[in-house]
Amino acid sequence: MILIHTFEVALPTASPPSITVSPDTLKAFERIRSLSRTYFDLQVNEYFWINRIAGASEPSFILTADLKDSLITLDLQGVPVHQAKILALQLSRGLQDCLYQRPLLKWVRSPFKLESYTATISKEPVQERYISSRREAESQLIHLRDPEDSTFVSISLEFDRGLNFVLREVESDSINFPLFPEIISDHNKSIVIHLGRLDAMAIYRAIPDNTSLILNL
Amino acid sequence: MLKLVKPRSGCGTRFLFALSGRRLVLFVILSALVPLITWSFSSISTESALSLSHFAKLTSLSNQIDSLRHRVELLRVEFRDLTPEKPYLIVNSTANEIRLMQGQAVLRKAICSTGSYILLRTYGDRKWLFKTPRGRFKVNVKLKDPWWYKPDWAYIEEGLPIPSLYSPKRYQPGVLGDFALGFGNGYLIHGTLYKRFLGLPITHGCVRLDDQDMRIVFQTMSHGNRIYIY
Repeated sequence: MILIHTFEVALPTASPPSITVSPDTLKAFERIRSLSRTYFDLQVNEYFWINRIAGASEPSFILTADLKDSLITLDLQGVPVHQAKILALQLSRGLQDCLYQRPLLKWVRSPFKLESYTATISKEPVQERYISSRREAESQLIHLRDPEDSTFVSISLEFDRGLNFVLREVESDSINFPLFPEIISDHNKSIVIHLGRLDAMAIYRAIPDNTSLILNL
Repeated sequence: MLKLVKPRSGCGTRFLFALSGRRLVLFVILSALVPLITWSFSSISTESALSLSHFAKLTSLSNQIDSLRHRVELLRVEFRDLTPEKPYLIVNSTANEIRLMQGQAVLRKAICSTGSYILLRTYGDRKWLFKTPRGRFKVNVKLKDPWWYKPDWAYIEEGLPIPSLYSPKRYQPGVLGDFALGFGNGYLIHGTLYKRFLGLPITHGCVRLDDQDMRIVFQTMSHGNRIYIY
Protein backbone atom coordinates (compact mmCIF):
# COMPACT_ATOMS: atom_id res chain seq x y z
CA MET A 1 0.00 0.00 0.00
CA ILE A 2 1.35 3.42 -0.92
CA LEU A 3 0.88 6.04 1.75
CA ILE A 4 0.65 9.57 0.54
CA HIS A 5 0.42 12.25 3.15
CA THR A 6 -1.82 15.24 2.79
CA PHE A 7 -2.38 16.95 -0.44
CA GLU A 8 -3.92 20.07 -1.45
CA VAL A 9 -6.57 18.02 -3.17
CA ALA A 10 -8.85 16.38 -0.71
CA LEU A 11 -8.75 12.62 -0.87
CA PRO A 12 -11.96 10.72 -1.05
CA THR A 13 -12.37 9.33 2.49
CA ALA A 14 -12.69 5.57 2.50
CA SER A 15 -16.05 4.44 3.87
CA PRO A 16 -16.04 1.62 6.43
CA PRO A 17 -15.75 -1.69 4.62
CA SER A 18 -19.23 -3.04 4.09
CA ILE A 19 -19.40 -6.77 4.43
CA THR A 20 -21.61 -8.11 1.78
CA VAL A 21 -22.09 -11.75 2.56
CA SER A 22 -21.66 -13.90 -0.44
CA PRO A 23 -23.53 -17.18 -0.91
CA ASP A 24 -20.29 -19.02 -0.22
CA THR A 25 -19.93 -17.27 3.12
CA LEU A 26 -23.50 -18.13 4.04
CA LYS A 27 -22.81 -21.74 3.19
CA ALA A 28 -19.74 -21.61 5.36
CA PHE A 29 -21.77 -20.23 8.28
CA GLU A 30 -24.30 -23.04 7.90
CA ARG A 31 -21.58 -25.62 7.72
CA ILE A 32 -19.95 -24.29 10.87
CA ARG A 33 -23.31 -24.36 12.64
CA SER A 34 -23.94 -27.92 11.50
CA LEU A 35 -20.50 -29.08 12.62
CA SER A 36 -20.91 -27.33 15.97
CA ARG A 37 -24.10 -29.30 16.54
CA THR A 38 -22.38 -32.51 15.57
CA TYR A 39 -19.65 -31.72 18.05
CA PHE A 40 -22.24 -31.05 20.75
CA ASP A 41 -23.98 -34.37 20.07
CA LEU A 42 -20.69 -36.25 20.20
CA GLN A 43 -19.76 -34.57 23.45
CA VAL A 44 -23.04 -35.63 25.06
CA ASN A 45 -22.52 -39.11 23.64
CA GLU A 46 -19.05 -39.25 25.19
CA TYR A 47 -20.43 -38.36 28.63
CA PHE A 48 -23.11 -41.05 28.16
CA TRP A 49 -20.58 -43.83 27.62
CA ILE A 50 -18.20 -42.58 30.32
CA ASN A 51 -21.07 -42.65 32.82
CA ARG A 52 -22.25 -46.07 31.71
CA ILE A 53 -18.77 -47.48 32.20
CA ALA A 54 -18.51 -45.84 35.61
CA GLY A 55 -21.97 -47.20 36.48
CA ALA A 56 -20.64 -50.73 36.10
CA SER A 57 -19.04 -50.40 39.50
CA GLU A 58 -22.44 -49.70 41.10
CA PRO A 59 -23.89 -52.79 42.79
CA SER A 60 -27.48 -52.09 41.70
CA PHE A 61 -29.53 -51.38 38.59
CA ILE A 62 -29.07 -48.12 36.75
CA LEU A 63 -31.25 -46.67 34.05
CA THR A 64 -29.95 -45.33 30.76
CA ALA A 65 -31.98 -43.43 28.20
CA ASP A 66 -30.49 -42.99 24.76
CA LEU A 67 -32.94 -40.60 23.13
CA LYS A 68 -30.87 -40.48 19.94
CA ASP A 69 -31.21 -44.24 19.35
CA SER A 70 -34.68 -44.40 21.01
CA LEU A 71 -33.57 -46.97 23.56
CA ILE A 72 -34.07 -47.24 27.27
CA THR A 73 -31.89 -49.77 29.05
CA LEU A 74 -31.52 -51.32 32.46
CA ASP A 75 -27.86 -51.92 33.28
CA LEU A 76 -26.62 -54.16 36.04
CA GLN A 77 -22.91 -53.96 36.73
CA GLY A 78 -22.03 -53.21 33.15
CA VAL A 79 -24.45 -55.68 31.56
CA PRO A 80 -27.51 -54.34 29.74
CA VAL A 81 -30.06 -56.81 31.09
CA HIS A 82 -33.15 -55.20 29.61
CA GLN A 83 -33.50 -52.98 26.59
CA ALA A 84 -36.74 -51.42 25.40
CA LYS A 85 -37.60 -49.39 22.35
CA ILE A 86 -38.92 -45.89 22.98
CA LEU A 87 -42.13 -45.80 20.98
CA ALA A 88 -42.86 -42.13 21.46
CA LEU A 89 -41.09 -39.25 23.11
CA GLN A 90 -42.20 -35.94 24.54
CA LEU A 91 -39.85 -33.18 25.62
CA SER A 92 -40.79 -30.15 27.66
CA ARG A 93 -40.41 -26.69 26.16
CA GLY A 94 -37.91 -25.90 28.90
CA LEU A 95 -35.68 -28.74 27.74
CA GLN A 96 -36.17 -28.19 24.03
CA ASP A 97 -35.06 -24.58 24.38
CA CYS A 98 -31.81 -25.69 25.99
CA LEU A 99 -30.77 -28.07 23.25
CA TYR A 100 -27.37 -27.25 21.76
CA GLN A 101 -26.77 -24.66 24.44
CA ARG A 102 -23.57 -24.89 26.42
CA PRO A 103 -25.24 -25.11 29.90
CA LEU A 104 -26.92 -28.32 28.78
CA LEU A 105 -23.56 -30.04 28.47
CA LYS A 106 -22.91 -29.39 32.12
CA TRP A 107 -26.43 -30.61 32.96
CA VAL A 108 -26.01 -34.03 31.37
CA ARG A 109 -22.35 -34.47 32.22
CA SER A 110 -22.95 -36.71 35.24
CA PRO A 111 -25.69 -39.23 36.09
CA PHE A 112 -28.95 -37.97 37.58
CA LYS A 113 -29.83 -39.27 41.05
CA LEU A 114 -33.37 -40.38 41.83
CA GLU A 115 -34.97 -38.28 44.56
CA SER A 116 -38.58 -39.42 44.57
CA TYR A 117 -41.12 -41.28 42.47
CA THR A 118 -44.80 -41.99 42.06
CA ALA A 119 -46.48 -44.71 40.04
CA THR A 120 -49.87 -46.19 39.24
CA ILE A 121 -48.56 -49.67 40.02
CA SER A 122 -46.83 -51.07 43.07
CA LYS A 123 -43.17 -51.93 43.30
CA GLU A 124 -44.07 -55.35 44.61
CA PRO A 125 -47.55 -56.71 43.78
CA VAL A 126 -47.96 -58.49 47.08
CA GLN A 127 -51.06 -60.58 47.77
CA GLU A 128 -51.62 -61.56 51.36
CA ARG A 129 -52.87 -64.98 52.45
CA TYR A 130 -53.62 -66.02 55.97
CA ILE A 131 -53.90 -69.77 56.49
CA SER A 132 -54.30 -71.59 59.71
CA SER A 133 -56.34 -74.58 58.60
CA ARG A 134 -56.87 -76.85 55.64
CA ARG A 135 -60.28 -75.38 55.03
CA GLU A 136 -58.80 -71.94 54.71
CA ALA A 137 -56.14 -73.29 52.36
CA GLU A 138 -58.72 -74.86 50.11
CA SER A 139 -61.11 -71.96 50.12
CA GLN A 140 -58.73 -69.22 49.17
CA LEU A 141 -58.37 -68.19 45.54
CA ILE A 142 -55.02 -66.96 44.36
CA HIS A 143 -54.51 -64.62 41.44
CA LEU A 144 -52.12 -66.44 39.19
CA ARG A 145 -51.62 -63.28 37.19
CA ASP A 146 -50.40 -59.91 38.35
CA PRO A 147 -53.30 -58.30 40.26
CA GLU A 148 -52.45 -55.01 38.52
CA ASP A 149 -52.93 -56.61 35.14
CA SER A 150 -55.35 -53.97 33.88
CA THR A 151 -53.89 -50.89 35.57
CA PHE A 152 -52.57 -48.23 33.18
CA VAL A 153 -48.86 -47.96 33.84
CA SER A 154 -47.47 -44.49 34.42
CA ILE A 155 -44.34 -43.87 36.45
CA SER A 156 -42.99 -40.45 37.30
CA LEU A 157 -39.37 -40.30 38.45
CA GLU A 158 -38.02 -37.09 39.94
CA PHE A 159 -34.29 -36.77 39.58
CA ASP A 160 -31.92 -34.11 40.81
CA ARG A 161 -31.13 -31.03 38.70
CA GLY A 162 -34.82 -30.57 38.07
CA LEU A 163 -35.34 -33.54 35.75
CA ASN A 164 -38.76 -35.10 35.64
CA PHE A 165 -38.64 -38.44 33.82
CA VAL A 166 -41.90 -40.19 33.04
CA LEU A 167 -42.41 -43.73 31.78
CA ARG A 168 -45.81 -44.42 30.35
CA GLU A 169 -47.24 -47.44 28.66
CA VAL A 170 -48.43 -47.02 25.14
CA GLU A 171 -52.21 -46.82 25.08
CA SER A 172 -53.66 -49.55 22.98
CA ASP A 173 -56.08 -47.32 21.12
CA SER A 174 -53.42 -44.82 20.07
CA ILE A 175 -52.74 -45.21 16.40
CA ASN A 176 -50.52 -42.31 15.55
CA PHE A 177 -47.35 -41.67 17.44
CA PRO A 178 -45.34 -38.52 16.81
CA LEU A 179 -42.40 -39.32 14.59
CA PHE A 180 -40.40 -36.52 16.13
CA PRO A 181 -40.27 -35.59 19.80
CA GLU A 182 -43.46 -33.85 20.72
CA ILE A 183 -42.97 -30.66 22.69
CA ILE A 184 -45.06 -30.39 25.83
CA SER A 185 -45.80 -26.93 27.16
CA ASP A 186 -44.03 -27.41 30.44
CA HIS A 187 -41.23 -25.06 31.32
CA ASN A 188 -39.52 -27.58 33.54
CA LYS A 189 -37.11 -30.11 32.19
CA SER A 190 -39.42 -33.04 31.54
CA ILE A 191 -39.05 -36.11 29.40
CA VAL A 192 -42.00 -38.42 28.80
CA ILE A 193 -41.22 -41.80 27.31
CA HIS A 194 -43.86 -44.10 25.92
CA LEU A 195 -42.96 -47.76 25.80
CA GLY A 196 -44.43 -51.21 26.10
CA ARG A 197 -46.39 -52.04 29.22
CA LEU A 198 -44.21 -54.94 30.32
CA ASP A 199 -41.07 -52.90 29.64
CA ALA A 200 -42.28 -50.06 31.84
CA MET A 201 -43.26 -52.47 34.60
CA ALA A 202 -40.00 -54.41 34.44
CA ILE A 203 -37.92 -51.25 34.62
CA TYR A 204 -39.91 -49.74 37.47
CA ARG A 205 -39.87 -52.89 39.57
CA ALA A 206 -36.16 -53.40 39.09
CA ILE A 207 -34.76 -49.95 39.84
CA PRO A 208 -33.85 -49.29 43.48
CA ASP A 209 -34.82 -46.14 45.36
CA ASN A 210 -31.36 -44.66 44.87
CA THR A 211 -30.95 -45.46 41.20
CA SER A 212 -29.19 -43.27 38.66
CA LEU A 213 -30.24 -42.17 35.20
CA ILE A 214 -27.74 -41.64 32.41
CA LEU A 215 -29.03 -39.54 29.57
CA ASN A 216 -28.04 -39.20 25.92
CA LEU A 217 -30.03 -36.36 24.35
CA MET B 1 13.10 15.16 -9.71
CA LEU B 2 11.61 15.58 -6.23
CA LYS B 3 12.51 18.41 -3.91
CA LEU B 4 11.00 19.74 -0.75
CA VAL B 5 9.48 23.21 -0.90
CA LYS B 6 8.83 25.23 2.16
CA PRO B 7 5.05 25.69 2.56
CA ARG B 8 3.48 29.10 2.36
CA SER B 9 2.55 30.66 5.64
CA GLY B 10 -0.91 29.82 7.07
CA CYS B 11 -1.02 26.50 5.44
CA GLY B 12 0.06 24.43 8.46
CA THR B 13 2.61 21.70 8.24
CA ARG B 14 2.21 20.54 4.81
CA PHE B 15 4.83 19.49 2.44
CA LEU B 16 4.44 19.82 -1.22
CA PHE B 17 6.33 17.75 -3.63
CA ALA B 18 7.34 19.76 -6.60
CA LEU B 19 7.23 17.71 -9.76
CA SER B 20 7.59 18.58 -13.36
CA GLY B 21 6.71 17.22 -16.72
CA ARG B 22 5.93 13.53 -17.16
CA ARG B 23 6.53 12.88 -13.54
CA LEU B 24 3.81 15.33 -12.63
CA VAL B 25 1.34 13.63 -14.96
CA LEU B 26 2.26 10.23 -13.57
CA PHE B 27 1.91 11.54 -10.08
CA VAL B 28 -1.58 12.90 -10.72
CA ILE B 29 -2.72 9.62 -12.26
CA LEU B 30 -1.34 7.61 -9.38
CA SER B 31 -2.89 9.84 -6.78
CA ALA B 32 -6.27 9.25 -8.39
CA LEU B 33 -5.82 5.55 -8.81
CA VAL B 34 -4.26 4.63 -5.48
CA PRO B 35 -7.28 5.39 -3.28
CA LEU B 36 -9.41 3.44 -5.69
CA ILE B 37 -7.06 0.47 -5.56
CA THR B 38 -6.78 0.73 -1.78
CA TRP B 39 -10.55 0.82 -1.38
CA SER B 40 -11.01 -2.20 -3.67
CA PHE B 41 -8.24 -4.07 -1.95
CA SER B 42 -9.75 -3.46 1.51
CA SER B 43 -13.14 -4.77 0.33
CA ILE B 44 -11.60 -7.88 -1.12
CA SER B 45 -9.44 -8.48 1.92
CA THR B 46 -12.44 -8.36 4.29
CA GLU B 47 -14.14 -11.10 2.30
CA SER B 48 -10.91 -13.05 2.06
CA ALA B 49 -10.26 -12.63 5.74
CA LEU B 50 -13.71 -14.02 6.47
CA SER B 51 -13.13 -16.96 4.15
CA LEU B 52 -9.80 -17.70 5.75
CA SER B 53 -11.39 -17.50 9.17
CA HIS B 54 -14.21 -19.85 8.15
CA PHE B 55 -11.82 -22.28 6.62
CA ALA B 56 -9.70 -22.31 9.75
CA LYS B 57 -12.72 -22.82 11.96
CA LEU B 58 -14.12 -25.57 9.74
CA THR B 59 -10.84 -27.38 9.70
CA SER B 60 -10.44 -27.08 13.44
CA LEU B 61 -14.00 -28.29 14.09
CA SER B 62 -13.64 -31.20 11.68
CA ASN B 63 -10.47 -32.32 13.39
CA GLN B 64 -12.05 -32.08 16.82
CA ILE B 65 -15.07 -34.05 15.63
CA ASP B 66 -12.92 -36.82 14.21
CA SER B 67 -10.99 -37.05 17.45
CA LEU B 68 -14.17 -37.13 19.51
CA ARG B 69 -15.76 -39.77 17.29
CA HIS B 70 -12.75 -41.97 17.79
CA ARG B 71 -12.91 -41.54 21.57
CA VAL B 72 -16.62 -42.40 21.62
CA GLU B 73 -15.99 -45.54 19.62
CA LEU B 74 -13.30 -46.62 22.07
CA LEU B 75 -15.71 -46.06 24.95
CA ARG B 76 -18.39 -48.17 23.27
CA VAL B 77 -15.91 -51.02 22.91
CA GLU B 78 -14.82 -50.63 26.52
CA PHE B 79 -18.45 -50.89 27.68
CA ARG B 80 -19.10 -53.89 25.48
CA ASP B 81 -16.09 -55.64 27.00
CA LEU B 82 -17.75 -55.48 30.44
CA THR B 83 -20.16 -58.22 29.34
CA PRO B 84 -19.01 -61.63 30.66
CA GLU B 85 -17.22 -63.83 28.16
CA LYS B 86 -18.74 -67.02 29.60
CA PRO B 87 -22.41 -67.82 29.11
CA TYR B 88 -24.77 -66.07 31.49
CA LEU B 89 -28.47 -66.15 32.23
CA ILE B 90 -30.87 -63.22 32.40
CA VAL B 91 -34.22 -63.70 34.14
CA ASN B 92 -37.04 -61.20 33.65
CA SER B 93 -39.33 -61.79 36.61
CA THR B 94 -41.96 -59.32 35.34
CA ALA B 95 -42.46 -60.94 31.96
CA ASN B 96 -41.46 -64.41 33.25
CA GLU B 97 -38.87 -64.98 30.56
CA ILE B 98 -35.27 -66.09 30.50
CA ARG B 99 -32.48 -65.45 28.02
CA LEU B 100 -29.39 -67.61 27.93
CA MET B 101 -26.63 -65.37 26.61
CA GLN B 102 -23.06 -65.50 25.47
CA GLY B 103 -21.58 -62.07 24.84
CA GLN B 104 -24.26 -60.16 22.97
CA ALA B 105 -25.75 -63.28 21.39
CA VAL B 106 -28.94 -64.88 22.66
CA LEU B 107 -28.39 -68.62 22.83
CA ARG B 108 -31.89 -69.45 23.98
CA LYS B 109 -35.03 -67.63 24.98
CA ALA B 110 -37.75 -69.31 27.02
CA ILE B 111 -40.68 -68.71 29.33
CA CYS B 112 -40.34 -69.42 33.00
CA SER B 113 -42.20 -69.00 36.27
CA THR B 114 -40.94 -66.78 39.05
CA GLY B 115 -42.05 -65.69 42.50
CA SER B 116 -45.76 -65.11 43.12
CA TYR B 117 -45.34 -62.22 45.59
CA ILE B 118 -47.72 -63.96 47.92
CA LEU B 119 -47.25 -63.04 51.55
CA LEU B 120 -48.20 -66.13 53.49
CA ARG B 121 -49.15 -65.62 57.11
CA THR B 122 -50.12 -68.15 59.67
CA TYR B 123 -50.54 -68.58 63.42
CA GLY B 124 -47.66 -67.49 65.63
CA ASP B 125 -47.11 -64.52 63.34
CA ARG B 126 -45.03 -66.64 60.98
CA LYS B 127 -44.83 -65.23 57.48
CA TRP B 128 -43.08 -65.78 54.17
CA LEU B 129 -42.94 -63.52 51.10
CA PHE B 130 -42.52 -65.59 47.97
CA LYS B 131 -40.49 -63.48 45.62
CA THR B 132 -37.54 -64.17 43.37
CA PRO B 133 -34.57 -62.07 44.48
CA ARG B 134 -33.21 -59.44 42.08
CA GLY B 135 -29.57 -58.74 41.33
CA ARG B 136 -26.47 -60.47 40.10
CA PHE B 137 -25.73 -63.99 41.28
CA LYS B 138 -23.44 -66.91 40.49
CA VAL B 139 -24.13 -70.57 39.96
CA ASN B 140 -22.89 -72.14 43.20
CA VAL B 141 -24.28 -75.65 42.81
CA LYS B 142 -25.34 -77.93 39.96
CA LEU B 143 -27.68 -80.82 40.75
CA LYS B 144 -28.83 -83.74 38.68
CA ASP B 145 -32.10 -85.48 39.70
CA PRO B 146 -32.56 -83.07 42.60
CA TRP B 147 -34.82 -83.94 45.52
CA TRP B 148 -37.01 -81.31 47.13
CA TYR B 149 -36.83 -80.73 50.85
CA LYS B 150 -40.38 -79.66 51.60
CA PRO B 151 -40.30 -76.64 53.96
CA ASP B 152 -42.86 -75.61 56.58
CA TRP B 153 -44.66 -73.13 54.37
CA ALA B 154 -45.50 -75.88 51.86
CA TYR B 155 -47.42 -77.78 54.57
CA ILE B 156 -49.10 -74.58 55.77
CA GLU B 157 -50.21 -73.71 52.25
CA GLU B 158 -51.96 -77.04 51.99
CA GLY B 159 -53.35 -76.79 55.48
CA LEU B 160 -51.45 -79.94 56.49
CA PRO B 161 -49.71 -80.63 59.80
CA ILE B 162 -45.99 -79.86 59.78
CA PRO B 163 -43.73 -82.88 60.33
CA SER B 164 -40.42 -82.78 62.21
CA LEU B 165 -37.39 -81.16 60.58
CA TYR B 166 -35.72 -84.46 59.76
CA SER B 167 -38.80 -86.42 58.79
CA PRO B 168 -38.18 -88.50 55.63
CA LYS B 169 -41.59 -87.33 54.42
CA ARG B 170 -40.04 -83.96 53.68
CA TYR B 171 -37.76 -85.37 50.97
CA GLN B 172 -39.59 -85.58 47.65
CA PRO B 173 -38.07 -86.73 44.34
CA GLY B 174 -39.15 -85.54 40.88
CA VAL B 175 -40.80 -82.29 41.93
CA LEU B 176 -37.88 -80.17 40.78
CA GLY B 177 -37.42 -81.86 37.42
CA ASP B 178 -34.22 -83.50 36.14
CA PHE B 179 -31.75 -80.65 36.77
CA ALA B 180 -31.27 -77.72 39.10
CA LEU B 181 -28.86 -74.79 39.47
CA GLY B 182 -28.46 -73.14 42.85
CA PHE B 183 -27.61 -69.44 43.17
CA GLY B 184 -27.60 -68.89 46.90
CA ASN B 185 -29.87 -68.75 49.97
CA GLY B 186 -31.75 -71.87 48.91
CA TYR B 187 -32.97 -70.42 45.60
CA LEU B 188 -32.83 -72.70 42.55
CA ILE B 189 -33.44 -72.68 38.85
CA HIS B 190 -35.09 -76.01 38.17
CA GLY B 191 -37.55 -77.97 36.08
CA THR B 192 -41.19 -78.41 37.00
CA LEU B 193 -44.17 -80.74 36.98
CA TYR B 194 -46.53 -77.76 36.60
CA LYS B 195 -45.81 -76.97 32.97
CA ARG B 196 -49.20 -75.38 32.33
CA PHE B 197 -48.30 -72.60 34.76
CA LEU B 198 -45.11 -71.62 32.97
CA GLY B 199 -45.15 -67.91 32.12
CA LEU B 200 -47.03 -67.04 35.30
CA PRO B 201 -45.77 -65.74 38.66
CA ILE B 202 -46.54 -68.86 40.67
CA THR B 203 -43.41 -70.03 42.46
CA HIS B 204 -42.18 -69.56 45.98
CA GLY B 205 -39.06 -67.77 44.79
CA CYS B 206 -37.33 -70.28 42.57
CA VAL B 207 -37.22 -70.00 38.80
CA ARG B 208 -39.00 -72.84 37.02
CA LEU B 209 -38.27 -73.88 33.47
CA ASP B 210 -39.57 -76.41 31.03
CA ASP B 211 -37.54 -79.65 31.03
CA GLN B 212 -35.91 -79.10 27.65
CA ASP B 213 -34.96 -75.50 28.45
CA MET B 214 -33.63 -76.57 31.82
CA ARG B 215 -31.47 -79.24 30.23
CA ILE B 216 -29.87 -76.71 27.86
CA VAL B 217 -29.33 -74.14 30.62
CA PHE B 218 -27.82 -76.82 32.85
CA GLN B 219 -25.46 -78.00 30.11
CA THR B 220 -24.39 -74.48 29.14
CA MET B 221 -23.90 -72.90 32.57
CA SER B 222 -20.99 -73.88 34.80
CA HIS B 223 -20.06 -73.14 38.39
CA GLY B 224 -19.39 -69.43 38.75
CA ASN B 225 -21.32 -68.33 35.65
CA ARG B 226 -23.45 -65.26 36.17
CA ILE B 227 -27.17 -65.04 36.64
CA TYR B 228 -28.88 -61.64 36.34
CA ILE B 229 -32.41 -61.37 37.69
CA TYR B 230 -34.60 -58.30 37.46
